[in-house]
Amino acid sequence: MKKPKFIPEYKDIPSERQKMPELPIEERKLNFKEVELGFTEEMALKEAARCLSCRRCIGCGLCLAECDPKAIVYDQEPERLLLEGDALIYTGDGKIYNPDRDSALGYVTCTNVITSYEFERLISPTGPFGGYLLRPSDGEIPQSIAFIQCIGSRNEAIGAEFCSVTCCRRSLLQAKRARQLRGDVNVTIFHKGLRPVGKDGEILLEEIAKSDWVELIEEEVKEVSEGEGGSLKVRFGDGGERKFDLVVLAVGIWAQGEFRKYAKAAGGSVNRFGFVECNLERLMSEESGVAFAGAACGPALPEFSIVGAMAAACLHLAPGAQEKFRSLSGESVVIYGCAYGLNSAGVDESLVKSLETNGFKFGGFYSYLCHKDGRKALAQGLEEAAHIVILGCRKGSHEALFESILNLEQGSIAIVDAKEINGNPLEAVKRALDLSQIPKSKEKPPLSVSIIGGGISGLAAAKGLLRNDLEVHLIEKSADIGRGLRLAAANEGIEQQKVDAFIDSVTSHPNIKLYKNAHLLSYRKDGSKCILSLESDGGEVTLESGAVLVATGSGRFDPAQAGYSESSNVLTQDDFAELLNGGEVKAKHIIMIQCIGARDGQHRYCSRFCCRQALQNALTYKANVEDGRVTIIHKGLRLYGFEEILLGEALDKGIEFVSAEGKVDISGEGPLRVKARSKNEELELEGDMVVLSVAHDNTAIHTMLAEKTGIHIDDLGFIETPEASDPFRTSEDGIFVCGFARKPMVAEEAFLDGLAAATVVIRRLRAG
Amino acid sequence: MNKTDQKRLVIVIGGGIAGLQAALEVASSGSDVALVEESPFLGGLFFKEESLTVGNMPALCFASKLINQVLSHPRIRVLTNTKVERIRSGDGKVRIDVKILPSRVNSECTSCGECLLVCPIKPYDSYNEGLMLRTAIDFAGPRSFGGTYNIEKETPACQERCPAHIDIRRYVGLIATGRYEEAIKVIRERNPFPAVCGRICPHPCESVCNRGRQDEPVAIDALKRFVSEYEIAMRKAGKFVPPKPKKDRKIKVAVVGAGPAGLTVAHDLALEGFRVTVFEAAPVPGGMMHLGIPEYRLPRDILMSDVEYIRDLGVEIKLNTPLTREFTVDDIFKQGYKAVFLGIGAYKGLKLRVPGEDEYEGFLDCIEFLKRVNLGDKTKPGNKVIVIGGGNSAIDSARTALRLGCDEVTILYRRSRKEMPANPWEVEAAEHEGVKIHYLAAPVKILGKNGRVTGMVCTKMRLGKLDASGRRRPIPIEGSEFEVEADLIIPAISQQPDLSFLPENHGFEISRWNSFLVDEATMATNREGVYAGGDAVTGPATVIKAIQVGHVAANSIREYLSK
Repeated sequence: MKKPKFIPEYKDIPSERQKMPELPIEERKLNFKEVELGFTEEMALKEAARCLSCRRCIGCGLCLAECDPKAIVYDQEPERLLLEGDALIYTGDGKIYNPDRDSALGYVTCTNVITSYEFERLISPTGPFGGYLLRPSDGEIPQSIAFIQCIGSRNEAIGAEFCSVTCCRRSLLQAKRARQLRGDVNVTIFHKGLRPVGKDGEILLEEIAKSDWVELIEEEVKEVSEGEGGSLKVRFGDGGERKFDLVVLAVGIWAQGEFRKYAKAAGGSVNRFGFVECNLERLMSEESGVAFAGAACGPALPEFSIVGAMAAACLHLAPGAQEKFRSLSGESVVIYGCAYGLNSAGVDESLVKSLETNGFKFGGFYSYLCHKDGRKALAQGLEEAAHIVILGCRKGSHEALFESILNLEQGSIAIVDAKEINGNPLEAVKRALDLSQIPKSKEKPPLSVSIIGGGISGLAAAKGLLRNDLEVHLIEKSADIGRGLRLAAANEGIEQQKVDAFIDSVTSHPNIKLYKNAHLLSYRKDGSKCILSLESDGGEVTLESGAVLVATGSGRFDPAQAGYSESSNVLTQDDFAELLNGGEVKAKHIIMIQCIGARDGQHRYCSRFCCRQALQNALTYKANVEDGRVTIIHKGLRLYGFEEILLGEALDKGIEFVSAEGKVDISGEGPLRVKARSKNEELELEGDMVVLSVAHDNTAIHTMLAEKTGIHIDDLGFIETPEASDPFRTSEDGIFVCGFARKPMVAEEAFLDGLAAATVVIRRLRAG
Repeated sequence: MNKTDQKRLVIVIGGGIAGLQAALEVASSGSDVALVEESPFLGGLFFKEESLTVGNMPALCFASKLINQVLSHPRIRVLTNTKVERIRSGDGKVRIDVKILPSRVNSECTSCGECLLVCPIKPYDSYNEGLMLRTAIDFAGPRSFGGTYNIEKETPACQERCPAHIDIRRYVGLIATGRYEEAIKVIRERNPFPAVCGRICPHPCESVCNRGRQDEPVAIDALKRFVSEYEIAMRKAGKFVPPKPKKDRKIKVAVVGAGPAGLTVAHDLALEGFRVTVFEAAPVPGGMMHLGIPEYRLPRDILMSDVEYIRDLGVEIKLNTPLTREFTVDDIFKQGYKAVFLGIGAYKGLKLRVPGEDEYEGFLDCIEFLKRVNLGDKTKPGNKVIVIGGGNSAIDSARTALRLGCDEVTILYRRSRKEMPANPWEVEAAEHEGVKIHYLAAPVKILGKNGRVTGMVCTKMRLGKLDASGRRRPIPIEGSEFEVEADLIIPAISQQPDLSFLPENHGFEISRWNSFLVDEATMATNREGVYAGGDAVTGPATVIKAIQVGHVAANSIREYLSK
């Protein structure tokens, strides 16, 4: 939080301590007159006003006097409790890095240097300026804003060699919002290589980078200092200097001390930055009573936090609770009355109460059904009955409100306006029930799921579903279930046995059926059943299940399409990894080319896994071939979170990095000549092996699925998930998607994605 | 019905979006959920953010939606403001000990927001990263519909630090709004000597005042003095009605010593309905407040007004009635008193232990000196005065000597200014008035002629390593002796209780510093029904400390007599 000096107010609080009047020194001889003379009333009032009350309540009673329901209890005591749970999910927040410690950044001394979180509040409609973009020192409109990236992250000197993931994206979005708020503002971003996380991150970066009001400067900021009238001077690189009206420090997220405590309680550990280890190895063996999600596992985007939370929940769902939920078939209706709405429209409560004689259940009157207690009552009502009718509420605004807060998967809600009652509540309720078109009966879907794809997310989803007593049909196009997981695990250096044990625990489960060498023939929906027909191991099979989960994972772009022909010394990272596993690489200079089939205009997303894989392979190669040389040609590395550690190791090991634009050409046969162009020069390298980091491309499979099932494909070629809050639901009812099929991700994310999707599918199927 | 009928509970720690989502998922599956969040509010860091999104929804709106779902979910118990103190796991269970801090707003709250309009306290709004102010009633996030209110009212540092635990923040706040009468009542809840303390309290509260980190601490003590004077004026005008003691219990309690500890005991017990008699050796009440503290710091009418207040509660103070070998604690019990509190103070000055100190006239212990002056002997005691010591008594003696017309007053202290235990503002005033202070010097030998003191041999000192008191130990520098002239030497090095009045078979446990040994939780001595406190137990200390001890003793005497 910003230091107190930041606040321009406290105008009514005198800043000087009142001086105690004293007896003059010459009058103190030969008498015992009192020396200190005491405050006058005026002084006392002034001095007492200096008390900040330690920013806490003084119990003066003013608020209680205003409080109609007398809801204020000044002398409430703390309470101690012992909670005994069957499981624990820990999701503690990280802490915002405090840039105080680096005085060169001017955060302490300059009022107009703020953190990205402060900027977020600064421009918020609920912030200090009501949503206007004004700078804090004097409320002037800033004409130029600088964002300085990687404050408290990617910095070895302060022990933070990790990327805080969200900051680049946040700064890009903030820059965009600032421009929306003030059409004439100019933005400069000082960065160390922008990493715009997210499926659409590259598109966002591209859009902003080519705007004429943005300047991206890849230089280190040396000093920020205050100039005339609150403007700021930023010194950067070798002698660069710029003036800005506002400087935003894109601060990272650090671990809380308590993460260690919970990791220990779960039998786990924290990494060297204090975050809980949530790597693939740990996820595969996750059986303890404590699960982790949110920033405890490392800084992440909000959407990833939610996926993590759903995955953690998957480990701790109540067993087989389906009977608890009523389907709409046993239709029952509970009536609630909003006392406020009824009274203000002059409707007699007894008139509403008379509905009971018509056979309706009556839930009660609440002074405001949209407030805390009312909402709780409605939620309780939905547990007991399928349908709720509220009398005396406002249609339109409040329907949306209730929809957003109540879980209407289990039932529905209808509102009758007070004036609609018109002396005849029964008629009004009937009309409302008719209009709401509740399905009169619905068949329960079977508690089984067909998973298409036996890769990382498919296996994780299967694990989650089996754990919660659902039946699973696992459909895999190849003969090898878990190839993707094995490959990823090998890259991470996880023992083969552990991976096999995990795969075995899924595939040998009594409730799973495996369909290998399978391909999809057709799909149709029959009531609540999803029916798939397949060809598997040569035979035709028809599968009935409650839901289909698409987990087709990642495919590989064919480098030939980009003009690269594979040969014995031009190969992909996957092949190179296998070669390394065999331990027979003799080449002395490996040249890696990143982003083949990614970020190239046609594929506008970053595939996420390739930079990590390239570094892992390069490091393995360096460990095997000591005098080997590795050069990585890239268009800006995309290493998020703790992947930054790999970059540090790579630099230590002497791996070379070359930033280039456009296509990299390969020529020659024996020694290969590689030609790359960077901003202002052309570079020619000679190596004896080229490794292509080919990106994800699974368009063929997605197109096939779309044709056969009717699901939609989004602009980027992934399977579309229209609902933001339900990232696994496709446009087709009953079909869900997880893992790489919905967006690019790395192995551990795909694993969590599978578990999270399992949670969503279970909720859906149990609700019926 | 099915196996889920046995209650199953999942604990989710953290109320950010991950915690909210996890709680909702688990609760929807039919489990009970306890959602534990340390801060008063749900939402976490993403609740501050609008730029980052979930799908196309700003993170803030998404968090807000989750919060509302969680708050309305019948199976989720939300514990905000809750700190996890301990986690244990075993036999398939996870157990956590939590402490729920009070939010001071109960479930009757309708989120109308009226309170926010009237609250006079304006702290920084942490939800808005300190960019603006809020009120002491906190409300994180946008107030579109419903939410959680929280009133922050923990014990502030000043109150924590005050030995008598006075609710300082409250009375200062009341003074700021001109409500003096209520303010003095708040002080009187914990302190029966507001007028005295308003003048001479070393106010440790001010040293921890948070305002001091910004500029200077609030002048808490001066404010106390101001309202105490307001009270005195009201009493003089007959507009102030002292509180009525509880119903007469017809039980007699004796207090020995009318100092701050003894009178606090008398005050508390009289209010409780006991009949309290105070036996005082001196011809005046107040103990050290009267005999030790000079008038220029504490005018006698001010002191007497606080004493009168206690007398008005029905406390009888018998002056000139010392305990002696002829009038013992046993005799008090024989007179029908059911309990005795010994607050006899510490009046015996310690010896310098240097050659010559008992040989010459013109050598007067500071307590003797101050007592003599404070009882009315205002004759000039000498021309050149040396005071030895660095405590408040030394400063008082020096400043008193100046006022009696002594030509030259010097304080000799063996450590440096930094280690001096006296209040720094007193030292400053003394120097201002003309007292010379000789640091890093200690007496070696007293010089005299014709039976009268003529001077002293001193040695220079240097500071060595830290000693048990946490100060650097003074070490004499060899060969650095020097002589000073003086016709009055006042040692002011420390005092002990004078226990010469106790008969041989008194039966009390006495410490090696000649003080009473007591159980600190109750202030009970080893003899049944006899309690002790104040300087008689702690050695020389402050009035406010004596008041605190007095409260403790009074409370245990009340409990003892209620049995």
